Amino acid sequence: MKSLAIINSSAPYGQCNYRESLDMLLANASYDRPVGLFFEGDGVFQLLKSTDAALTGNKDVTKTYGLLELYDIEEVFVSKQSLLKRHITREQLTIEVNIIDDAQWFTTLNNYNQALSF
Amino acid sequence: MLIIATKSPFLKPLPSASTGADLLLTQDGVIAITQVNDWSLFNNVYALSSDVAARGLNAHNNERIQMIDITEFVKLTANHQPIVNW
Repeated sequence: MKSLAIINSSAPYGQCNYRESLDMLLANASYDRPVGLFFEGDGVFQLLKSTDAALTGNKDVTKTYGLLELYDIEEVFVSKQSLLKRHITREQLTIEVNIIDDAQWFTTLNNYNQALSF
Repeated sequence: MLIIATKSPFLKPLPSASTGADLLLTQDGVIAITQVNDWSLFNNVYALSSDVAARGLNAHNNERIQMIDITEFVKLTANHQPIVNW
């Protein structure tokens, strides 16, 4: 089966991208397709544990990200430069992630057959 | 004048010249409070507290930024003209 990389680049709750990427992720993972999850740019804001999406009338994605292990999704990568620029540290993130720098970003992506950006 | 910023500053940077206007940060615009900005370009800077809390950014509270609720948001729009979407 072809492996899939899902790349999140948009901030949560202002637009629906975060929700669509999550649906795509869970749909593919439930068919045991190998999926890697990538966060860069404003996408890293999706991982903050202090979020409270109900205030915007949305469901909190951080809770769903907590279920990733159940779906055997262990490959979660976050851009180091994107975190630094936004003053976010590993401790503020809701799940365990691999923090990679720009040089590793594309070599890691290259391990997947297909990639979708949200 | 009231400038309403709704987009992430990484997509749409805030005005970089003096505006003499009030600034209201809403939706993804509240991400600006996590950044170093020259807030003196604006008279008053407001941020919609529910949008800040929803995105988990409460810890970035800054004395230059006044947290407001929806009722105060409505008052701001009633008391300013023009209102410019940024």
